[in-house]
Amino acid sequence: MQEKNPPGWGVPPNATPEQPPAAPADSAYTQWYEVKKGDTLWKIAKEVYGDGSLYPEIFKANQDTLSDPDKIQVGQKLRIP
Amino acid sequence: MKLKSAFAGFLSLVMAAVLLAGCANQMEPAKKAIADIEAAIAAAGPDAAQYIPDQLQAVTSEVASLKAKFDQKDYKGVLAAAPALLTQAQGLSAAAGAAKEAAQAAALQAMNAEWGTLSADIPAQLAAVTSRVGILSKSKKLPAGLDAAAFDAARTGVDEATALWSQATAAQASGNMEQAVGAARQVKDKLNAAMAALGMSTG
Repeated sequence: MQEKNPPGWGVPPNATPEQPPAAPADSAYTQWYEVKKGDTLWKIAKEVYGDGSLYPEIFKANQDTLSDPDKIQVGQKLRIP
Repeated sequence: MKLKSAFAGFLSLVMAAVLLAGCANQMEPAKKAIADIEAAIAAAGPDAAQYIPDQLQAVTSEVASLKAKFDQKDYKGVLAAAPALLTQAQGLSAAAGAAKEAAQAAALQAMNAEWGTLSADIPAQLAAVTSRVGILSKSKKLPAGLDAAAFDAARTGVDEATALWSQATAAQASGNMEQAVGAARQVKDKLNAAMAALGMSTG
């Protein structure tokens, strides 16, 4: 099941395609969040940072598994930087 | 008969005088022997008390016995026992030095091991907390359960931990393991406190 962010929060259509960065090195201190039904990156950012507009931070930290911030899967584990 | 008795009395007196003189002759050497032993114990210094307390106790207890003999005017007994005890007392200094060296080597080994654990752990923890503080600093509103005062305290803690970590690595590079480990322990405490305040799990 895919959860979508509200329109307009994804990568701009004219953005230059780039190689996704390598996954950040995980450690015992990497913070994880398991996606629940109804979650969006905005909603997760609002919960952990108090501010949904900071969702790109989560997207950036998970670019090894996320290609689109609007597409997250229930049960998926996301790094929360 | 009277003359014979007087002579016997005189002889007894002479013998007693000779005996007393003999004792008196031995008193000063006995006194010096005890003083020499005490000086050897003192030369071992506080290291003996710290690193070889049992050995020191054994020698001091024998010195007490020797002094008791001296007080009972058994100077011969003192002089008979003194050389062996002096050898033991003179050995205290070297024994304390060796024990101190062994204790310091063990402490250094323990500090190196602790440094190994801390230095493998702290950079990742510091990076995780620094990242979270940086993001929260940009937040228009803090998350539920985190007020501004707690966040400021956590941010200050992370700043202090960063500075202390630099000090710790510099101390380690210069071989001052005691300072390095001391600073690293403080870093760890500050990071754990900051993580708890920010609601981060410690893995």
